[in-house]
Amino acid sequence: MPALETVGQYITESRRLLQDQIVPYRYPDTDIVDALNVGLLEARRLRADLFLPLFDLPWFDTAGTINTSLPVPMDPQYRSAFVYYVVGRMQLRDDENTTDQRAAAMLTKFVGQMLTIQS
Amino acid sequence: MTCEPTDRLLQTLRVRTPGAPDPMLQLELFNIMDEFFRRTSAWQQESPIELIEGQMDYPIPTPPNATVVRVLWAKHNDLPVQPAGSSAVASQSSLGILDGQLQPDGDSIIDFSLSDINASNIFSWALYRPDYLTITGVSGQDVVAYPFLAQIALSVARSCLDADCGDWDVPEWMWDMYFQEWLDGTQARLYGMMAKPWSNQTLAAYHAKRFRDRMGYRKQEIMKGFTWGQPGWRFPKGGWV
Repeated sequence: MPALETVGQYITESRRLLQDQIVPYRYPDTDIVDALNVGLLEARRLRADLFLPLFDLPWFDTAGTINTSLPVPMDPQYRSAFVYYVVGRMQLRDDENTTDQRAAAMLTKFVGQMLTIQS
Repeated sequence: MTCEPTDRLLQTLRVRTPGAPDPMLQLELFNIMDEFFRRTSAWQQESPIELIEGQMDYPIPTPPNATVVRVLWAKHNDLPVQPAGSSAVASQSSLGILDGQLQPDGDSIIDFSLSDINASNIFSWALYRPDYLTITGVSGQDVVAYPFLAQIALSVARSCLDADCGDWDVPEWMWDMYFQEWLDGTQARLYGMMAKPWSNQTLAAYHAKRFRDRMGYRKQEIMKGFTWGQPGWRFPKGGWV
């Protein structure tokens, strides 16, 4: 099974890059899933072909407990880009642990992976 | 492990267009096959139609996941039947000009109101929409006794994109015969896309030229049969003849 199949796996991988793996978390699950939802909107703008054939936009409910077992329907080639987007969006907030440059780098990396051949 | 007819094309495309998702490859492959079939009439089938006295419109039987592009010719009781608008029958063309042979001076030398010449009584056919054949003059037992045979050109239908079978019901020999054409065409469409990891305008132009050139050759080859040396190059205008 390819990596990053479910919402829970995106949360885990994002926390790993955010160095936020100890409870209580700095970034709540709901914020991370919200960022994933926004990332999917961005991807729809940049790469409509990723949502073929019906162009349905996946959306994950953040009201209440997050269902971490829900699958995220995304081509395996572009899954890591969404992790970079989530991390970048988390770090956009004013936080002593992050820098604007790092957030910008992550968001740029997301766009770069969507539009060019780079890893 | 199964091996689908589309596998060779999709495998090659995956390697040559890094980052392109499979649904995108399948969509563009479908688009290019549709264009190829519509231009070349490469996919042909003889469809028998049972005539019913007095009925004009007949649905054209097609294979699954195929759609009619045009009728190439028709025959009935082993005799060719002319399409409406041809010079052998009454006068109908896309420009609405009456047939010159019937009216040599362009004037109404024949008073049609007094004549029994009526297109609806002449055994002929027309195609006003792709999936229905309109046949006029179907009257008498001698006419309905024989099936009407229509040689139709087909293309892939949209339903192919919903099918998981992987062969899209295209005749199997075509996947090898037209491999290069479909590969070039699909690559041209993919490389020509805007702001994609695999975008490349130079390669798009190269493969589009190859596709157009090969499609022109195939169009002539199909009309003349798969025999060596039939298509030639027309000089000085250019193009396969």
